[in-house]
Amino acid sequence: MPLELAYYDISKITFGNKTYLDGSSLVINHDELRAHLLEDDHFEDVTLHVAHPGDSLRVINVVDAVEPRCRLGGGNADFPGFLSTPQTVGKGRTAVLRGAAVVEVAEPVPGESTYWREAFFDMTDSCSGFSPFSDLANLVVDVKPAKYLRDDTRPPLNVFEGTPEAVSLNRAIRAAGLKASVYMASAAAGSEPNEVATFDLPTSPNPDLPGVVYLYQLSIPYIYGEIEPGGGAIGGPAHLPTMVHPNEILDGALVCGWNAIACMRELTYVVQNHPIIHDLYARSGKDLEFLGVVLFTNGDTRESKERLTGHATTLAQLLKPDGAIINYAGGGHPCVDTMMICQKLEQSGIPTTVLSMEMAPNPSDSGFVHFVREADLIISTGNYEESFSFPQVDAVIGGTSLLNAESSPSGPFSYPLSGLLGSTNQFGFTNVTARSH
Amino acid sequence: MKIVHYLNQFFVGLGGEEAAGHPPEFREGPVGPGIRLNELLGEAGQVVGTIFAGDNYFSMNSSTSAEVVEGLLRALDADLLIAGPAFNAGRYGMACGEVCSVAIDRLGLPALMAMSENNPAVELHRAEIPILRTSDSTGGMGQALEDLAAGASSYLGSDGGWSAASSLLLSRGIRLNEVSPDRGSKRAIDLLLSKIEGHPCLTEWPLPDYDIVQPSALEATNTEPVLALVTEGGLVPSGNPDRLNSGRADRWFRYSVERVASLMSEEFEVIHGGIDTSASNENPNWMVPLDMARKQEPKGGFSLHEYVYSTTGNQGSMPAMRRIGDEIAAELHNAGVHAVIATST
Repeated sequence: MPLELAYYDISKITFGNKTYLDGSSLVINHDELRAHLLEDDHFEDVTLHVAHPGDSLRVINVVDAVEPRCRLGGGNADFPGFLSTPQTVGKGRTAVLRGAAVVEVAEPVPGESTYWREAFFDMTDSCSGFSPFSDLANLVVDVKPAKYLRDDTRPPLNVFEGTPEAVSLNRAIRAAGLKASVYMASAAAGSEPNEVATFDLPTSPNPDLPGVVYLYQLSIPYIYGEIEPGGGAIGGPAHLPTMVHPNEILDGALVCGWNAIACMRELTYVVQNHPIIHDLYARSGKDLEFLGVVLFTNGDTRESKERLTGHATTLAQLLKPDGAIINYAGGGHPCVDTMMICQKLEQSGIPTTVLSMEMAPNPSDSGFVHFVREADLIISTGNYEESFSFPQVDAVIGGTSLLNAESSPSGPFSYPLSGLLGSTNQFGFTNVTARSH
Repeated sequence: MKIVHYLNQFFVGLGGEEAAGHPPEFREGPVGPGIRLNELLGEAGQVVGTIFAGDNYFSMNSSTSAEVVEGLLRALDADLLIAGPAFNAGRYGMACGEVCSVAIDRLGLPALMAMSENNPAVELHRAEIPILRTSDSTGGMGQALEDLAAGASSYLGSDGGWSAASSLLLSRGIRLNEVSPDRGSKRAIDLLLSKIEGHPCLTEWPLPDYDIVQPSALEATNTEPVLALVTEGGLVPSGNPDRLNSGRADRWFRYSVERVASLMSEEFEVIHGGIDTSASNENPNWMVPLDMARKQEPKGGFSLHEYVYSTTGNQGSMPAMRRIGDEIAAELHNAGVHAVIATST
């Protein structure tokens, strides 16, 4: 049974006394949604804002962003593992408010790791094309954590992990975004969608078309509500790679689990709209056959990298592909694993392209963490060390200061592209790329 | 259009090393190679004056020199500064870079400098200053001046950009963002399908061009092989008398260890700026294993070379590191050294 995404195109969000869809405008019962989100006792307060393209507005201290969606039809679960018990998704019909996003923002509490947490975007033209959220109608959920969390003076355990309370708060903030997402999309039930797209893997791939497998390097998401894979990239023993149906990825099985660098944060919104999976589906049966997805993370020892990359290569080979696409999740260790898999695939005769962001601050630094000679075809998703100019804006949502910059959050200031939410996305979600000069 | 020219002491005819301590000075009109440059520029511009300084003076007194140059440039109200050509002369290239930085950063005056890609100033300045490509040696002077005139003319005839001269310039060595017509995921699929079809494809991010050096086998010798110790770890005599750089090194040194059994912390230190040096400073043999080599020497079937060789690899630019490697290797070769232990940080 395939997955159907029923798209309802949204260009505007307003607040009113009841929640409904008015053409391409979504009207939200502000008080009802706020009360719904405030049921979580991690929060002292929740403030709702709207942010539209062209507004002189900057959204800072972003945690995650979600596309408003809800499952249509009985027996279906939204974001299982988070909002219900785990159950497999990826089949049946899901309503999608296309053009809209829920963005959760919160100032960090003392127990949070803020090493990579800085994340912002503008609604002005200056960020258009660089941050996906600059071009969307956004509902911003601004969370004020409960007093006991704000008053906790204990520092985070290390640069990766917050205190258990801070980890719990972060999960609650993400869940609030998911709840708002379902609440908003429920307004679409009963209306006629603008488009319905069907997603299914080929049952008998056309042997005349090149079969393509996608190797997806995860950046520690929640999978069905559980942080995967046992810490992996944050110092735990990495799971062996695995396969999932791509429809699960598109249908809410994965939720952003970690406040990685903003430009490469594995945002729930981007995973729901995973561009590689979408583009492979769109061309499957036309100029290629989409064979499947292998999920992998990274090892943090020589031995675990060898084991993990060998296994990922084997899983990909079992699908008998003619070519492979692999993404690098960002960071130090993950690059080594991605490059090792690229090398192993190429050496086994499977042509491979790599998507990679760049960290090239100056001519003395190539921007590569690691490379293999076999990585001779790389798609650059942008150089996140290059400075980007953020103009002065009239309003700021999400806090009173930036975490890593002295300047006022209303600007103007310059900041590396790394701070701009989703800008150098590792799946090639944006059109950003870098070129030699 | 008014052009100011920067040259070193040698090219204005003051002399070589003996005049390298000359402080910055100004002369009206073109001097030395500037005369030919002025002719080649023709209608496009005129060399109204020449600033020059001794290479040593400039490098030892860079902030004073920069201030003097700034004052001279302010008084001239020029349209363009041209520095060099400096070919592969390191100190001269560095001075050209400083002078151009003063022009661009402090005065907003456009600047162009000319030198070989192997000049150590290139890595330092290529991102910010347009650099015109020359040969390594002064044999390429004629071509360099023609190119400088062509580059300067095209700049002065444009509305403030170097793009028309780009074929004459070194790449800036930087990666700048832009927005592609297609998103990355689509480009990845397009590229993959081309690769599968066997069509020629171009990567969007070229791999760095690092040399892969295979250690050669030890050649048979009639005598006991001579072993040398080499490091990029920044080993220097205490106090760093030769002022080896702690990063971005442009030089290397050799230090005699004849009849030295072990590197004592009172006599040697490690000045590498990219590592925690505390262990090596407590015992410099951790960086260069002279003590163990001496211990092995009587029964190991080798004799140790008279010198250890040292530079700093931290933030090293590829051209500078290649040159340093070539120079050390040439000296080792000439000294009859058969084998090397190269310790790295």
